[in-house]
Amino acid sequence: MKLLELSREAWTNLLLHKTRSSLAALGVIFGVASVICMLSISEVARRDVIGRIERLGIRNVILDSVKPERVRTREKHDSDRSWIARYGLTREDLEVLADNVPEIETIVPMRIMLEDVQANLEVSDINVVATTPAYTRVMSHAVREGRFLSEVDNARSQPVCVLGADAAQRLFPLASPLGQVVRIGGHHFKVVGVLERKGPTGTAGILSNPDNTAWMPMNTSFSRFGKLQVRRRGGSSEATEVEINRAVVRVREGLPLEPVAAIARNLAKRRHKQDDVAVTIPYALLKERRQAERIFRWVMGSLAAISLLVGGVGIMNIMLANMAERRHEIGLRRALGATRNDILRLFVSESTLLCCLGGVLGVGLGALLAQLVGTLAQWTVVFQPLSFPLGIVVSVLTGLIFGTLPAIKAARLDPVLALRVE
Amino acid sequence: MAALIELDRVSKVYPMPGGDVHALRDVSLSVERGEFVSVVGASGSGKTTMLYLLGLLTDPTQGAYRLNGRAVGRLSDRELSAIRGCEVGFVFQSYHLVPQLSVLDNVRLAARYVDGLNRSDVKRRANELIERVGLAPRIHHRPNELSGGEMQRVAIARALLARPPLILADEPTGNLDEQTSLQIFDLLAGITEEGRTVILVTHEASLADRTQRTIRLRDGRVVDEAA
Repeated sequence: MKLLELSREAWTNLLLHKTRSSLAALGVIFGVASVICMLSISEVARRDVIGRIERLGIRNVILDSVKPERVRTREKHDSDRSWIARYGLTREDLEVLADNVPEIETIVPMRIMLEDVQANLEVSDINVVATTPAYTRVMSHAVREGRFLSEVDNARSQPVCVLGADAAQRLFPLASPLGQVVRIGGHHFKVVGVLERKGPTGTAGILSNPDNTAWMPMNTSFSRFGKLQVRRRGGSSEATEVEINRAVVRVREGLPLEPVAAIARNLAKRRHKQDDVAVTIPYALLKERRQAERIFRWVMGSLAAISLLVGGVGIMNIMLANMAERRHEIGLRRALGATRNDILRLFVSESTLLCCLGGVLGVGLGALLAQLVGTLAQWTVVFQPLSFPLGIVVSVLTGLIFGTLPAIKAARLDPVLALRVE
Repeated sequence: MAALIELDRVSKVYPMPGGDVHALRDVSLSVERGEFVSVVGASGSGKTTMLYLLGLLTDPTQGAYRLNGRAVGRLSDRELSAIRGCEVGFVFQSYHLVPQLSVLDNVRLAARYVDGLNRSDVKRRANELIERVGLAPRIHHRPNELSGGEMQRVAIARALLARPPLILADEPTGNLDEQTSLQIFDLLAGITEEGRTVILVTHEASLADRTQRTIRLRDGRVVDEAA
């Protein structure tokens, strides 16, 4: 009852000074709003990056072919004024690796094909990647319809393909793609399956978007298209000979990844004369990312603390000014029987209520801002479930902490001095 | 029956950087229930200090004070505040009304810190008092819509709300014209007829002469008491 009465009195007093109260609350509103907004944005970024890394597989070691700064082998290619760039992993590299490292369970090679995909005479901007049947198991990418590439498809270099979820939607928006024929680089391929949506993996490049990809058997890619791939740009063309763009090495369960990665690095160094293979351990990336995330959270926490500190100091200043202006009222209340604690409670309840309202408005504004940023950046807004109550609790605490000093000053005011008229 | 107010050799000293200021020196005083007493003296003679001391807003540096038969010298802030709320009503020269509250709410404010009062009783009593001081038509007005005399009448109604036996009036007519001063004085005189004690601090000799007893202060000492 007392609390209710006190809250009502504090509310009335705040309403009596609407402009001042609003200005005082602004600091807290913006402080809490920025905290909510930043927490949401960082959560989106965190989930995105961690999701990408996790989708690469935490038991995997990733070997990527990278174009060295100076490509070692350069030859004149046909009559064009262009060169062949040869670098990166080869099928032989992977065989040597699999034969010499017993810790390896499977290796899934991936080869990016620079070919167009056509269905019903329409060219679509879809990636083409050649791989082996183990892909779905190692990358945890489930089949939605039909089947994935089989050992038979690969062994017999069959002209079949499997579509990622987005690729299937784009090529065949109205019908099931199963059994349909697509043209890849002029060859006909029968669609035998469609994969579930997986989301982006890794951080960049064609291989980071498995949903917008058409998958063909590795052997088919070599038998139909050869080793050499040519990309034409304007009047010139660029020819590359990269057998394997990426190899995902699945290590047996329970065994450490780092030694396998070290062997792969040494092997690449020994077998290649140039630095053209990058070895990545997603698990290590994840650990690094989590460490970075912890630091990021500290930074965010500090920023939030600073903005709330600024808001709190604003509240304290306003409450001090309030106290000075209401000196006579304090004296009068003391004369009417108010104890020092009554005065203390009155002022603390005003600052707390003000900050609580600021917190509620700040949470609303923060959610709105995050939604706006999400809409502009075209990402799904994610809120940490605890961020809303946390925002309000922190703002209430701000009111309590920063309202206490002015309240103590008000409570300690000598009623005789407070009632004196200058 | 004991006197309402008993001061026994009370002194009040304010420590100041330039040296102690003796506001009251060895003041002994006894005031009965229903008495109308005026306190006069030059500025700085200790009139207001005495009033605030009697109203428990400040405590004596030396001496003993008994209010309504109870020694109040060693009571806690909570106990003093409770007595102040129930047993003392203040009327100030500059009214000290809360500008944002209506006449009714200003009067009801006197019940805010008094325990055990019934909300509807308080409202009824506030209405009665406002009518008694002649402000019924102004009950929902704000202080800035009232004249000085009207504001002082609101302050008197507020002082009476908790039915205190002691009313302390600190130059209540100091800001008013002569005719309004007389009206306020008559209101205060009427209060004593209910058995309440009124102590009036004033500069106006004509008003002091009309009280039952006048206490004259000089340099913090009682120099004269005239009935």
